[in-house]
Amino acid sequence: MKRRAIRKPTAPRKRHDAANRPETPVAPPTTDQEIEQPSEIRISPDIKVNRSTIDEILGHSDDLIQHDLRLGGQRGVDCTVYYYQAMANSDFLHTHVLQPLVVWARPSFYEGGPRPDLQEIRERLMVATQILEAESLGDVLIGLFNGHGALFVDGIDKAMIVRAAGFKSRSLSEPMNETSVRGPFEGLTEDIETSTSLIRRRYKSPHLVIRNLIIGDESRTKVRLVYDQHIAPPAIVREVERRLGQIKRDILIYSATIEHLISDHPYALWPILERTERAERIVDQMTQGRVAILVDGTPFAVLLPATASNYFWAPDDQSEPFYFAALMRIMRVISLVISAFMTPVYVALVTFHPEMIPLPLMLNIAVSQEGVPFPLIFIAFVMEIVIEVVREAGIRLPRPVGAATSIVGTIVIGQAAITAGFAPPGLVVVVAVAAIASFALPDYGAAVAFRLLRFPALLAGGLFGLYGVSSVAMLALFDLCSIKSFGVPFLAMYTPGRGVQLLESLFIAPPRLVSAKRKMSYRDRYRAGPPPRVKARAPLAENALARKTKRK
Amino acid sequence: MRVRQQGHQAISARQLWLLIAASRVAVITATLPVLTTGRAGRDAWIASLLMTLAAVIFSVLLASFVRRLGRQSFAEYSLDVWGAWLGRAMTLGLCGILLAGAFAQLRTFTDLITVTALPNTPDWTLSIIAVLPPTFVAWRGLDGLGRSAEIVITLLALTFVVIFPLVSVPELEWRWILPVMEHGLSPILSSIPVGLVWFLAFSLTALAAYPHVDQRQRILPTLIMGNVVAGAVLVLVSIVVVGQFGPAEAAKLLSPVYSLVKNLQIGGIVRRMEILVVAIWVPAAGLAGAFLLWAAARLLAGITSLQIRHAVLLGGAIVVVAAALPHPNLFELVTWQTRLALPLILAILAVIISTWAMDLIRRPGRHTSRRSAGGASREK
Repeated sequence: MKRRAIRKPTAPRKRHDAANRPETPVAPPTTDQEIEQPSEIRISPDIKVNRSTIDEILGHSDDLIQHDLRLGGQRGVDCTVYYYQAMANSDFLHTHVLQPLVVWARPSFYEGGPRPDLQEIRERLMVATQILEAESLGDVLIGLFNGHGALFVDGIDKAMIVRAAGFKSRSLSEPMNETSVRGPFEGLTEDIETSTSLIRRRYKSPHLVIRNLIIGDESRTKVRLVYDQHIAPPAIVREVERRLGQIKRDILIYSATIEHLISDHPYALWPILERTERAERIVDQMTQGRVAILVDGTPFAVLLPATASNYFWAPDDQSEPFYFAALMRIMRVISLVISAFMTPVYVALVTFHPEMIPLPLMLNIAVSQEGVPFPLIFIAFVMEIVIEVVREAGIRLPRPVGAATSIVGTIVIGQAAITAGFAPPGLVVVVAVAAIASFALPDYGAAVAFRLLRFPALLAGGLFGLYGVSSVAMLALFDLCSIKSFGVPFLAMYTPGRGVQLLESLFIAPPRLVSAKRKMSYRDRYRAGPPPRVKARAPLAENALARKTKRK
Repeated sequence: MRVRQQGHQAISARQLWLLIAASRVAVITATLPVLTTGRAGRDAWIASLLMTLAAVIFSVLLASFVRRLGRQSFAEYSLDVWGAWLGRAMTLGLCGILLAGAFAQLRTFTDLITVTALPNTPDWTLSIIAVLPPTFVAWRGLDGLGRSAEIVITLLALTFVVIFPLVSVPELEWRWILPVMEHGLSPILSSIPVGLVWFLAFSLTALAAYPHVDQRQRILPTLIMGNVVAGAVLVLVSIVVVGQFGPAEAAKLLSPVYSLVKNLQIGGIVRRMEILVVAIWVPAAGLAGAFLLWAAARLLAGITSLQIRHAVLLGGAIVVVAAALPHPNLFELVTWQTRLALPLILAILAVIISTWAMDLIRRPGRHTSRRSAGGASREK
């Protein structure tokens, strides 16, 4: 028997070297008809066709690695492995895909035998953990873009996607925006798999559902819908899926984009969907029927639907003694009011209603304002803008410098403004307290919204006194009343007849008083038995008609 | 969690009665006691009681009538019954009453604000600014109005908890209230129409809001509750005002509740609490104005090709123009209300009863079932 030489796998090569790359880009197809979407292209049994197609679609990129192999000598079968250098774990692919292929591809195997089919190769390659079959080139591209390897075999009109994602991601760390004293120190990361594992680790329930979606025609961003199927209202889940399905974007990078696109009121001043980077918060809220959306590439999950009470939640609420947590929550509510209205009310009182202020205090204020060359409202505006600038600078500067700059800047500017006679000390105190109060709000978006509300309130207070401030507060209140988060009124808990929910939102119940079992969900009730039949009552008019007929 | 589809402007029956009650309480606490105390004197509370009874009777009539509307508001219904031109004229008449109510309500509060807080600010500036927030609120739709009512009624209740028990009740002099009916029934009856016209105006909003109510079969208890709660507040306010100031002085006060609050101090630290209370009243007044504006816009949208939001803007513009024109002061407003009360009540009754009768004549077999309406309809 003539021995055939085993053709060793070719060395990995890049599709195009920089030197070989044509200087002028290839002209794109001129009409839409010429462009065929990869998802519509079926994989050809002829590997040459597949190679040329992939070369045409992805060949311009230098980090695409292509291994061409011939299994079983000259009469053997051609196959090709593709992967992206930066995305896939090349060691894993070499060990679990390429080496088994080479070892397995003995010439005797092909001598007179049938050509290998996909199932056979798959069984031989079972050392690789997960292998999926792809029938269209679109699926192959998604696999490659997600860091997996793709194996094409001549004569087979399918490709194998070998899970081998090996890109680096940030390790677990404490959430930056939701710091905690006694709570968990693990936050979600930019890698959606890691974030999902954090949730799964905390919620080992068979009712946990994780739905995968791809959004972004170009970015192909992974989005996951996470909820408890026995608790989350199906109407909300359906609505979330519907709205996510309607998103038509080329690029999706931020979870905030999704938040805006699926929101009931995208232009509302207030954040009406909750953002969190804490896995335990997601788990806690899932057990209350809420749905989480994870987006690959961002550590912020979106929780929905949301109500205004979510503004006051902090990571330590469940970790601290309940009375302390309740007190802190009330403090946050007060902080919100102070943040939005303290400066406007001060300006309104001093400008229009000085008689409302106790006389000794009013005299002090009057003395301190003597010699100040500008109207109070103008100085208040300038001070608020300066505070915002210092805050922004503190965020943008390197962290060790930022905090120091913020503190020193505020103190120095405030002191200098008083000394220079630019601002009265009372106003500086009020502006500083309002600024600090805004930082006491755990929800960053809400803090920003109420800081913004301060400016129109300040203008109204400076022009129309308490009446103006009250009008702005009325507008804000009615606006909050009229918005909904996925059909749920945003102020749902702050209405009469919902006392229990209101208390729950303001106070943290001690664990002994919290039911050990979660609330029976609608599905549990459904399983418990059919709902009681209510005897249908005929409408009054029909009753009257029936009585008349009877009499006749 | 209850889910309503976006754009589905609907409120529950409970929200409707809270809306009606909150709007009325806002009017009552601002000026209404003077309307009843002016003639009835120490029997103002009896006048208030009888007025509430009359309003409840009107509610029964109105509830029976609105059940005929089905999925329509009065606008579409009157077009069906009266034909294009007469139907439009009838609806425009009701729109005019509602818009005039919105104007009077906002104007009254503007006057209060001028007196309490901003004596140097021109009235017309405040009037215009007073119209803008309610227009915005009405523009956002009935759904938001309904939920706002739930919060505003809480605010008003808290305000009265402060005012009445803390300030007024300990100083109440029962000799100002008793004996009852010293001058007979005539002064009591003559003071009823003034308050009743306000109660009727807010009840008329049901003609616009009915197709947007979730549980329409509960429209009768809804209207009755709205009247009873507001009537109870009015009786209470009348007793406290007359008992505090005496019938003679109470009759001269343009805003007795405001005068009551002026006596309020909290531990000598915070003075001039009336400014604070007026600031709390602003949302209530805004809500009342917004509700009337929305109802007028809903009716207007029914007889034109306008969308409700556009009709709200049109209505708001009309009220702004009215506010910008040289306008009467609070005393003149009260006088106008006193003079126009009875004709307006008769006009309202004539429109409703004649439309009902015409419908019965033209379409005797029309179904008036409690449940004929089904779910709330979608706002344009």
